[in-house]
Amino acid sequence: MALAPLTLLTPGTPGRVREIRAGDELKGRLTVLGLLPQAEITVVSAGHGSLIVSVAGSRYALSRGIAAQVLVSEGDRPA
Amino acid sequence: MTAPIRIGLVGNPNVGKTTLFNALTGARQHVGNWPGVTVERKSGELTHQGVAIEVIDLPGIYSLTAYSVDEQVSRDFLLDERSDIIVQVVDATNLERNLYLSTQLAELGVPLLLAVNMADLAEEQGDCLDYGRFAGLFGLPAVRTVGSTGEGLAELLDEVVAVSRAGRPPRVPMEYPAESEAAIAGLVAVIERDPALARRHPPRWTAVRLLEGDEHVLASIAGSPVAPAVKEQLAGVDAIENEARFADLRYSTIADLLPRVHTTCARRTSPSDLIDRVVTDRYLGIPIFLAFMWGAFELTFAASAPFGTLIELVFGWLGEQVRGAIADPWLASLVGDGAVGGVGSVLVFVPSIFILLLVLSVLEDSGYMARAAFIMDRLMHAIGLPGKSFIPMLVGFGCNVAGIMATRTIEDPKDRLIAILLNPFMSCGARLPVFVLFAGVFFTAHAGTVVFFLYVLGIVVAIVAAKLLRATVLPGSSAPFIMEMPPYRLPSARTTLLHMWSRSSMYLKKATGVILIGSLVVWFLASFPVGVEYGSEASLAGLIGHALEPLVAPLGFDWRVTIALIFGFVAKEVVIGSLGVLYGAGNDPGALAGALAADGALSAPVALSLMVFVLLYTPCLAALATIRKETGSWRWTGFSVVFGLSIAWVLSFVVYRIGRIVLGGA
Amino acid sequence: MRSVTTRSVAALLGVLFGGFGVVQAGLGLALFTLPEAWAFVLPPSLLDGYVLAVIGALFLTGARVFPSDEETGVAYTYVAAVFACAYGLLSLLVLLAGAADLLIAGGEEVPALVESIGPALYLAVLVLPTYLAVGKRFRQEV
Repeated sequence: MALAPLTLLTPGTPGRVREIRAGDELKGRLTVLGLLPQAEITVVSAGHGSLIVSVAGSRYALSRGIAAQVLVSEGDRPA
Repeated sequence: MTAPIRIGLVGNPNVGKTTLFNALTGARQHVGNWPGVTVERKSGELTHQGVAIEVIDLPGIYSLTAYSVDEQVSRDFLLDERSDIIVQVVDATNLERNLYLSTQLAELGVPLLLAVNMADLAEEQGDCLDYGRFAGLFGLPAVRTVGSTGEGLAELLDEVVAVSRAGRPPRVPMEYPAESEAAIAGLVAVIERDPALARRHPPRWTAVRLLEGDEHVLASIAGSPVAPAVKEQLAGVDAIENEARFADLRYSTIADLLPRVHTTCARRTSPSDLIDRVVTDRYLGIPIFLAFMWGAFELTFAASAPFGTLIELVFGWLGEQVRGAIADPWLASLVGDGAVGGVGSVLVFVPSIFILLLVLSVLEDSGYMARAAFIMDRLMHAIGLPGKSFIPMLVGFGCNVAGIMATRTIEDPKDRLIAILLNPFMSCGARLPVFVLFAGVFFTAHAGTVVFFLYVLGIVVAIVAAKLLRATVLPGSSAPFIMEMPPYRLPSARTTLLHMWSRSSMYLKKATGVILIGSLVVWFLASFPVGVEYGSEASLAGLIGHALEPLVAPLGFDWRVTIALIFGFVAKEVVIGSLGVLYGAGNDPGALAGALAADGALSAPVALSLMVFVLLYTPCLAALATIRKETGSWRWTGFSVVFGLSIAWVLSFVVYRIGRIVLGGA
Repeated sequence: MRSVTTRSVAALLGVLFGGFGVVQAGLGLALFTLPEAWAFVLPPSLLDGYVLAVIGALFLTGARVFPSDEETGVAYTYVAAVFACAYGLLSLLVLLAGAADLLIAGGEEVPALVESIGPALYLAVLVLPTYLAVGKRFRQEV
């Protein structure tokens, strides 16, 4: 079960969040939006400096910096 | 008579809460301010089944942990002010994340009711929610609503009356892990020793928040006699760990319960996502955006022309009638030239502002603007600005006042401050007539190009200023970019119009208020001392102009220009009006153009330097008032004035000197 | 609309819009000129040309991805068609506003007004059936 940062997740394939390596405030904000371990996540579109992800039924644009701190595993099998 | 039922209307951003609020309260709304902050407070009233109801519209929040001023306001209201019932507006197409907030609200001990909004969209997608079973399973009632059509509102209000009368708080079945329950119990015991504290919020709720490390709650406990005991209980507690654990608990509770009452249609890629693939295309994303912007500006200028011409004709006629009807020449001039003429010259531009703001509102309400912010984020980041400041900057091109107010969505205070300070460099609608006039007279065929480059100059200056501010006064990298992309939807006409109206009404107030006064002052200074020729050198205006001339002589300005600029401080629109007065051209643009061309003191380099000055010098009075209001600080407002003036002076000087060399002339 | 049809239509429209767009923009920048008579069909305009070129690019991208990714191909084609119709509508509004202005202020610039009817308008009319057909498919797919 390989872990990769969100930035490397192929657009269109579902993944599952495993770990968020970020400061408390950022982690808190992501958590509230549904971006927390075990959540299913898909990358909708990847741009130069940011990407759009789909998680918990909503879409968010995240900067690459943040996305790089979210570790996911490909495929949507739960842990 | 019983007191009205008080509803706190809460919900995630982008769930249609405002549409619902408008549908419920109609015209009976009051807009004020939350004390101590610059956030708007909207409340409204209605009667249902003979019962009086008061609705308070709260800014959107994702959870009770607040990251921006907007969110803090909502949170404070929910925690400190008493409402009889909380109605949370929930997005039916997105229940999971919306219910997160519900689980938090449920623990507050206040009756809670869900308005499952945009139900039509969910049903179109094939989703199905069993409202009855939902209430049973989740322990809180839910009503199906469609804010844009008004469906479900009557049922919602029925429930509001019923639920607040019953006064029963919700009971969401959440099972905290055993050790957390023990910690909660321990804290609850301590809290209950202080009856005042126990009464403020349900002790259980307070305990949970304390375990999560909620600083506000911790601070509010400080004065209580049990504070030391509480601190003791909290020693060795890992708040971060708890926060994550509890969040996980909420989501897993939702994941467990929701599927039992909610079915979603198996969706492959949603249409929104497909559209996003196109619109955020690596190479075409920015070109598409620029095309949108071009379309917006083209539509604005073209569509506002007939209205503008109409207003010009009407006010011209009105001015003449007034002048003819009043016998006393002095009074006739005051009302005719000063008041009617002045206000008329401003109202001519109202249609363009309205239309531009309308187009921008449509783009925003459809959801496209969020994508635009995403696309431009990289560029914005390179400048040192958050992607979110993009929309306020764009709105600033219509009117700086509206642009500055739009910065409220930026969470980080420093980022917000920079966005506010830079907004005046976005060439607002009021400056355009000055550019059109001078460019038209002195650059004829190339007028369009000159104006285009002025806009570009404004942007360039903003970028440099941003770097400057970042490097010196307001350091810090901008906050990480997280922005919700709401699904694309066809904006409802009513919401968009209201949206546009709230922004442009500020401009309208400015037009009739400040500018009217400004025009009268211009008239006054031009007409006195008594007997002097209107707008001549001997008038007060002329004297002041001459006095200040030395300051701006290096820029090539003479006394008339100086006076016009001073009046422009009141409102940029007044520049043209005052020039008309000072050159004796009245309100006839043709005559003014002719007078300008004939004036030996003016030439192409001077015109250029003047336009640059108008582009950059201080924000107008209304904008300054807004800056003061939004930043809450005189210091920054003053800074804005000085900053603008200095940059304007320096650049005007440079432009003038280079202009003299390149273009020749006086 | 079957995929092959959609793909060919997208490619054709892409070339049309792209071509007209580039030419109009070029005229606008005065990179080259056309005999007077052409002014009625292709009024020079940098920005109009730019928009048409962008729409053309979208159609062509749609045509390009079709074999490998059908739903994205449909998406690009649909969005391009929407933009084309929208821009056509916008151009129409601009025209009408200009006419209204003329009516109110009085003036003899009618020929100039007629001249400003460009590809943005007539190509949009051409796209209308495509928009309807692809739109139906787009909604079915998702």
